[in-house]
Amino acid sequence: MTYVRTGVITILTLLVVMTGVSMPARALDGDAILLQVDRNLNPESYEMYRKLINIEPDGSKREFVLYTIKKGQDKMVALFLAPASEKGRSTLRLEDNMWLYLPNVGKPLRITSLQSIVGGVFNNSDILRLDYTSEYDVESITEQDDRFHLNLKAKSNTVAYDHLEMEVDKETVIPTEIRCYASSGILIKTLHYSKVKDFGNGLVRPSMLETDSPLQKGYRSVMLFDGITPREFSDETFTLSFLPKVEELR
Amino acid sequence: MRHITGSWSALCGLLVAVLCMAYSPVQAQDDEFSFDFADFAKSPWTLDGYLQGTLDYLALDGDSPFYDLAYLDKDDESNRLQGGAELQMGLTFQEGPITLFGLGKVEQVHDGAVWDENALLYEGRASWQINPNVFVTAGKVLPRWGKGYAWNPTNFVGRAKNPSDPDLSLEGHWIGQIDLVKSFGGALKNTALTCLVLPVSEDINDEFGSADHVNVAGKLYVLFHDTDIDLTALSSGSLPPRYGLTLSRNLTANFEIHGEAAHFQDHSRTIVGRDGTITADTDDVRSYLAGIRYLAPTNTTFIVEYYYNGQGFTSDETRDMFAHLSDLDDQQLAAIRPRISGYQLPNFMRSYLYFKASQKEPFGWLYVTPSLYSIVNVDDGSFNLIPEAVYTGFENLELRMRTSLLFGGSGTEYGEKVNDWKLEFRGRYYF
Repeated sequence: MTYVRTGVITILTLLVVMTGVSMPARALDGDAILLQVDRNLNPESYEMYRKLINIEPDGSKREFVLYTIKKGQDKMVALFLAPASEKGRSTLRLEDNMWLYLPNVGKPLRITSLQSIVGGVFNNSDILRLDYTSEYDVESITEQDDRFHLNLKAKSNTVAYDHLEMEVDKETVIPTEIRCYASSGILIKTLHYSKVKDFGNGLVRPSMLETDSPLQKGYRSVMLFDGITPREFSDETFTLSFLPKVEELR
Repeated sequence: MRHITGSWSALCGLLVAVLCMAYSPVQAQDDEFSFDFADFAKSPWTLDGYLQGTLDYLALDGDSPFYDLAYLDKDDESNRLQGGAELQMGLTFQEGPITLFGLGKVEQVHDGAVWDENALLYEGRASWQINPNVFVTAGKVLPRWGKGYAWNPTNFVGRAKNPSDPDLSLEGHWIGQIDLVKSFGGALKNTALTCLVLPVSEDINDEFGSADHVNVAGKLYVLFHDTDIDLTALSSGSLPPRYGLTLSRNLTANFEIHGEAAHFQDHSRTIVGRDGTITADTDDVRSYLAGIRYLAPTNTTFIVEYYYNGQGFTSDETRDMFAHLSDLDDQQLAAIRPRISGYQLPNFMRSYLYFKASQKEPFGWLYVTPSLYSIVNVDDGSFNLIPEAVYTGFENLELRMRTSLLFGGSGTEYGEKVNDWKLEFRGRYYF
C-alpha cells in the first residue's frame, strides 16, 4: 500500500514539474498562471509574422500581413507587408500609448486602442497585444475539469477591455477562449485560440486566433502566426524616430 | 447545328463558371487559412506606389475676384471638366545600416483646355544608422512636424498641407539631418533630438525664403508621463526665427487630445487696403491649435480642431482686399497679383474650426467608408462642406468620390473661391 501511495505521489509530482506550473490543489496562484500563459504564448522579446484575415458577412475576405517585434512587457511594433495599399504602415505601442505611421502622411499619429487600423473585429489592442500580466490583474481564479477560469481586471482605463474572462487549458497552460467585456458589462468580443503548433525554440502554442463580436454580427476575423523567433532589440527601436525604419530589422 | 449550339452553350457555361469562380466572394472556411512567412522574405530593393486617375467637375464662380485673377490669361468659362493620370513610385534600397529612398511622380493632366505633363521628385535621400541611438540623413527630405490633422502651425521646415486633403504627397527640401534617440525607464520614456541644416540659394530650396542663408532648425521630442511633447525652433535666416510647442495624449481607450502653439518673430504681411493702399505690417504673432480624436461607441470617428492663425488676415482686412479687387480691370489685377499671394494661401484668415466624421461600413455597406468634413471660417461665417465616400472592395484599388460645397457671402473666404462647388472622382491602384 505504501508503495502504491509513493508511486502516485511521484507521478503527480512529475506531472506538475513537467507542466511547469505550481498549482496546489486548494491555493491556485492566478498571477503565476497568467504569467505562465504569457510565456507560453510568446517569448518576452521576439519577432514574428502574422496574417490577419477579415471575413465579411457575405463570406468575402481581406488579408493583411504584418511583421511584428516585441520587447519586454510593454514595447511592440508592427509593420504592414501586404497588401500593397497598406504596405509600409507601421504601428508602435509603448505601454498604453499607440501611434500609427503612414508613409504618405510621413509622421506618426497617436491612435487609441479601441480603433482598428485594419477594420474587421480585431482592434488596435488586439493587434498590438502586450503580455496579459502587463495590462490586467487577476481578480479570481477557479478550476473546472480540464480548465482554469480566470477573471481579469484592467489596470487602467486606457486598456481596451475593462475585464476579461479567460479559459486556460490546465495541461498546456494555454488560453483557449477569452471573453472581452466593456466596463458596462457588455460583451465586446470573444477570442478563440486553436491549432497548437511547434514554432521551435521550445515554443508550442496556438497558431490561429479567431474572433467574433455580438456588436459586429456576421463579421469574423482570424489571425495566423508564423516565424515566432526570440530576438533582442535595443529600447530605441521602439521609438517614433525608428517607426519609419522598421523594415530595416527584417 | 444542334451540335454547334450545344458547344456554344457548354463554352458559355464554362465561361460563366470561370467568371463566377473569379469574381464571387471567397467563402471562408477553416481549412483555407494558411500562412507561410517565407512568402514574405525581404529583398534589398523594393518598389511600390500607385497609378491614379482623376476626373473633376468644377462649377465656377464668375463673380469672384479670385476667378478674375485665375482667368486673366484664359478664356472665361462657367464650368470646367478636368482630369489626369498620375504614376507615383517609391524605390528603396536597404542594406545593413544604409538606406536609399526615392519618391516621385509623373503625371499627365488636362485642365479643361490643354494637356500638361509634369514630373516631380518628392523625396530622395540617403540614411545611415550609425548605431541604435544615432542616424544621419541627407538629401531631399520633407520634415513634417506638429500634431494637428488639418493644420500644423509648428511645422516650420515642411510645407503647408491642404486642409481639405491633408494626406496628399508634398515636395521636400534639400537638407542634412542628424537624429539622436535615447530611451529611459520611468516617467520619461523617450527623447529624440533632430537637428537639421537647410541651405537656401538661387539653385536649391529657393522657395523656402530669402537666398544665401544656411538655416538651422531643431526638434526636441520627449515622451513624458504618456504625453508626446515637442519643442521646435527655426533660427533666423531665410525666414525670421520661430519657436513651437506641441502636445498629444490619449485620455482613454477611445479619446485623444492634441495641441500646438507657435511664436513667429517679425512676421511680415502685405495688406491691401480698400483704396488699394499696400501696407507692410511686421509684428510678433502667435498661432494655436487644439484638437481631439474620438471613437464613438457607434464606431464613428470624430476629429475636431480649432485653429487660430496669428499669421492670417482679419475679416476687415479680407473684406477690404476683396472690395478693392472687385474694382480692378484685368491689367490692374495682373499688376497686383504678386502682392496678394498671402491672401491666396489655404485658410489665410484668423480663426477656423475643422470637423470630420467618418463611419466604416455603415448600414452593412461592405468596404464603404463615408465621411463628412467641414472647415468653418469662424471670423466671417463662411465654410465648406465635403461629403466623401471611399470604396475599397477590390484588392489594392481605392475609389473615392467627394463633393466640395462652398458657402459664404460676398467678401468672405469661401464665398469668394474660384469655384462654387466641385465634384471629384479618383481611382487609385496600389502596387
